[in-house]
Amino acid sequence: MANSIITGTFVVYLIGVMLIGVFANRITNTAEDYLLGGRGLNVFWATMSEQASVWSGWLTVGFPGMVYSSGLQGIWWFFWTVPGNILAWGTVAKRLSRYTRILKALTLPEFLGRRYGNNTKAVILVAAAGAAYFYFFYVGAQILAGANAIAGGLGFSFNAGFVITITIVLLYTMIGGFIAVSLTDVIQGILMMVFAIVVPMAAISHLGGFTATMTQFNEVGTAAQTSWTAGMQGPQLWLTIIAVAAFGIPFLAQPHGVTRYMSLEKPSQIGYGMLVMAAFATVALVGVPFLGIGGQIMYPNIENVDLIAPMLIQSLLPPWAAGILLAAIIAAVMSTADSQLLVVGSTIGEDVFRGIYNPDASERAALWVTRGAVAVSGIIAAYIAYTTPDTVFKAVAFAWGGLGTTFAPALVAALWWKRANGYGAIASMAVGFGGAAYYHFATGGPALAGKGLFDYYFVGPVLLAATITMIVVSLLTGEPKDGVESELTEISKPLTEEVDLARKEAGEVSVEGPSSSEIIPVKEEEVVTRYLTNFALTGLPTVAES
Amino acid sequence: MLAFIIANIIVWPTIALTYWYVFQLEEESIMNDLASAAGTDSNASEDADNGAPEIQ
Repeated sequence: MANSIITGTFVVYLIGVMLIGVFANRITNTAEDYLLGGRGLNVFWATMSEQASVWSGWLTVGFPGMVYSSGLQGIWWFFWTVPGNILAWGTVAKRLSRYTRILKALTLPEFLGRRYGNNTKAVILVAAAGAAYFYFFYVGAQILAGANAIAGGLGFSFNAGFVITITIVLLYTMIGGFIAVSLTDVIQGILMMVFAIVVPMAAISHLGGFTATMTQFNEVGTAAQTSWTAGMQGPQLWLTIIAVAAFGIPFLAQPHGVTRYMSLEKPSQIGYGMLVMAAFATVALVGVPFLGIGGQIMYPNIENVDLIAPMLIQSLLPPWAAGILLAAIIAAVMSTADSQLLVVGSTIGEDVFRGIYNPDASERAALWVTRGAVAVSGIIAAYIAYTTPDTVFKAVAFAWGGLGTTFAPALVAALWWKRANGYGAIASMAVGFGGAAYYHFATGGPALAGKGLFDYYFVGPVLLAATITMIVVSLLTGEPKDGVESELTEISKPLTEEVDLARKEAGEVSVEGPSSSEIIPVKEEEVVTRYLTNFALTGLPTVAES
Repeated sequence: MLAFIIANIIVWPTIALTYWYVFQLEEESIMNDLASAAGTDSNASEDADNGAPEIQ
């Protein structure tokens, strides 16, 4: 009975989400609608959408599983993403939103291509290759998270969960595009916040309160799990702190996250987005670790650590709430996987097909190529996830870090450094892309406690190398394209369209001009009377003078 | 763990509020200046016509 209620609630939620996709499809007419929602998102909507898509299945499945296996030391991985997110909102969001409007760019590779104008096609090709490669792994991680949620929460087999997840994500993304994604992202973001509050509180309550929970955890956990530093000291501790802190930096350039900045209706309201983001991240950071801690006490010997969050939901909550929150996990998976598939699809449809292969292609043709690319990318991601299973956290950590090392130096330089040129961007992206792939596979994935210098997470050293490459190659290879300096000046203050929008909303002026119904006809005699009365009489000679 | 929780609840919202206070208010001030400057320009062009309404 309980399982039927859970499954029923879950199915109703997903049907609702699909209906939103169908609705969004009806109001999607152009590539800009499909990819950026017509750049009409208000700041709350855009922020929730960004948070839901960036935190994803690794917040609801991967992170609890990682704290479950690593203990308190694992919390540091999540901790450093918050300042990373603040840095992204503070340095990238507003400028990117404005700059992509000026350059009329719909995607990150397209923006980089136009910003580094003299090498547009080469920049787009390298950026597109980097994005597609890492997103195959990222989407694969989301599918793994969804499959685990369905297997652990609804009692299905892992294979059934896998097929259900990939089917839902593909259908949804192909039907709706960005409008559907951002519409449901808000609901999914709110559900993720509920998840981060309700499930930890249920676990703490079940275990007898905060103090009792921590006491029991200290009894059942190993010495490494109950220590914030895993017993490390000296240089090893500091190297580890630096390596883990670097985990936050890729926030600067996650293509599926920065797309939300580009979709903002009013870039000048970034400060409000910062407040929403900080509230979301704080709640998540404080609450979610208790799933790993509580799980360690309640279910001490689980082999597949990614099952811990769904198992806690199923055992701690009433069936209807469990159904909704399991749906929230799938929601988190969908919100990230669909955003990422959209980025890969748009990179191929807009950047490569229309930007390089066939510039004269119609909007409609580009839209269909994008949708086809979404389908093919989803299948490739599913294949990678199924044939090389990993924990959700490790799979995300690779793709997340790789996107950061590939794009962060080129993107930040594009927004802030007038001297940055296309050669520097291409070299930097190549170093970030190749370095991440090589380093990751050579070391076997991220380790919190490295034994040697190269056992640590790859983002720090590879990002440093990519940044140095960006600077040195730009300085050695001549000037950037013409007009960069004036573009950077233009994006440092509100654009004309932002000012017009603000005046229009204040009712000060009608930007498009008065409609015909607003124009009041005036008789010629009245004009003459008004003119003479208001302005001309004082200047006219009087009868006496004449 | 309790100290970790309290520190996070204090630190991140404080940073976000500080950013909002420093940069958002500055941004809105710039926006208001630009909007009123644009409004003044518009009025100036009307004044150039001596305020006479157009005959339709």
